[in-house]
Amino acid sequence: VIELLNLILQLLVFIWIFSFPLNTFGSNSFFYQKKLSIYDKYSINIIFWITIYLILSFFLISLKFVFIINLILPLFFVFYKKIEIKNINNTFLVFLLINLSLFSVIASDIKLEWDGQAGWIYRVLNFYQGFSFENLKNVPADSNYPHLGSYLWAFFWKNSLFDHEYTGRLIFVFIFLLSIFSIFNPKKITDYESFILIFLIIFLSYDKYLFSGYQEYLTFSFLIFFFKLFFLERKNLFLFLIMLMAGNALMWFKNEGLVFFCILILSFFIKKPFLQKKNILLFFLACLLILNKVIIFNYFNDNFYLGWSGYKSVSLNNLFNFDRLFERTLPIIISILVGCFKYPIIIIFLLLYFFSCIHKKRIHFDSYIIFFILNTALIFYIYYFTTYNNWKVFMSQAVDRLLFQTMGIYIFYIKEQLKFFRLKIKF
Amino acid sequence: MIISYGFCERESYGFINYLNLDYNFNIRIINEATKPSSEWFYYKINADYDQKRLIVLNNINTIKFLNSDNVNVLFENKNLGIFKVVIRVKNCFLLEKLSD
Repeated sequence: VIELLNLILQLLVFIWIFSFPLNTFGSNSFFYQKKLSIYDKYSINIIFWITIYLILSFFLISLKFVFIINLILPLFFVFYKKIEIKNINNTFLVFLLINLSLFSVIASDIKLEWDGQAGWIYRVLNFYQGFSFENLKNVPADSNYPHLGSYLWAFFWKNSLFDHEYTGRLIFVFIFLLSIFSIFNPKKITDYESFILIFLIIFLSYDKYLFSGYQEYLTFSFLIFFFKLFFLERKNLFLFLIMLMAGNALMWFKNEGLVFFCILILSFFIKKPFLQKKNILLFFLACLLILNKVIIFNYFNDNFYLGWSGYKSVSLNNLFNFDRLFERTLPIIISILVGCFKYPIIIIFLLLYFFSCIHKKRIHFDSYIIFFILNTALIFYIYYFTTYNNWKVFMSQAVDRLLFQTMGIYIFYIKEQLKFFRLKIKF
Repeated sequence: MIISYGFCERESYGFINYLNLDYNFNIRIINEATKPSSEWFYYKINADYDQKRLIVLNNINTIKFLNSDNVNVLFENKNLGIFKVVIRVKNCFLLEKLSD
């Protein structure tokens, strides 16, 4: 019972602290006048706070102090009577219940898996024990791995009722579910079609192993947030900045996040001419954020790389080697296909895309998704093709997880394409 | 924690917790049953490693008994020296160094 109360309290903490700066339980916002769903507002607030956490992680500021500020700020809406209960729709209760169910699954088996125990937990302990980013070079894990997910984990572990590390990981579940709900945005409890799809997507993308200390769900969710903001409103400066913040967070969760961020930024220019004021600004700001990461890592760690320590690529002289081409191409393709079957959302996406091509029913954003997939596949291929040694081991351990991270984007397509095919489920 | 990590099996959280050590130092842990190391349970950032004490979990080949109290520790083809057994539960040991 106490454990359950702890989970409920943790959920209430997420609901409360991320109800600021956009009033999730109020009417339209000062920053954005159009109607945003409660899930969109929570997504924006989380992106905002995670950017703040990222900045704070470079300084020696107590996690408890930050948490207290987090708790105080939403009181503004209470004092100024900005909270309207009628704005809480009953779909939100379903969202909360699913959160609690998944929290319980994690609480029932708290074991950390390999990457969690070997690397991420030490970075979490660094923040949990009151150190900042600068000290990460002194912990046993690879200092070139990004740290934002570890900071989040440590933050909610430190500020939980129970002193158990798993309470810090519950935020990953909350963000994951929020990202799924923000795609479908169910408006009322009788929106059966959305709920069936939500449950289906959760069922197909839930992987307990990845909640056991891995950071993949953060990349998965933030790719969704980024993609959603990309299409939500392109003229609003506030959302434009939030979108960039989401892209920036991607780079600080995992190293491959930087690759995804670059591909997404480039995809902006598929249909839009580069020489547009806003596109130039986007390109400039994205370069600035990437440069910022490179400079910070070079300053604190004396080096910056995308892989891991010990990673070595083949020399340029040996790059165009036909033996390697024959040796590696087929295993890489097979490995990607196996990964696709492990996470069937990709298969569903491919089937729908295949049908849409046959029926010539294209979606306005499918060129962005195809651009993203082709580039991601190409980068996976180049990565494993050029890895000097142990490439089979690296590939067997990571391809499915790399694919998993990109899965969120295909869900947009699945949703739109199902709408397009007018798949109506009658009750 | 013990359900997930075991007492003297797998990561052996139960045994490490049972030792109830003062953790001003980190203690080197050798675990033959599983990797990665179980050190993280009580890892103290920036603290030095205890030069005297060693924890061996799920021993198979690491410990060679010299007599009922003393053991020789061999790990990854390296002789870590002679240790005194301070606490033993099944195949999990807290050892204290006697000599190199």
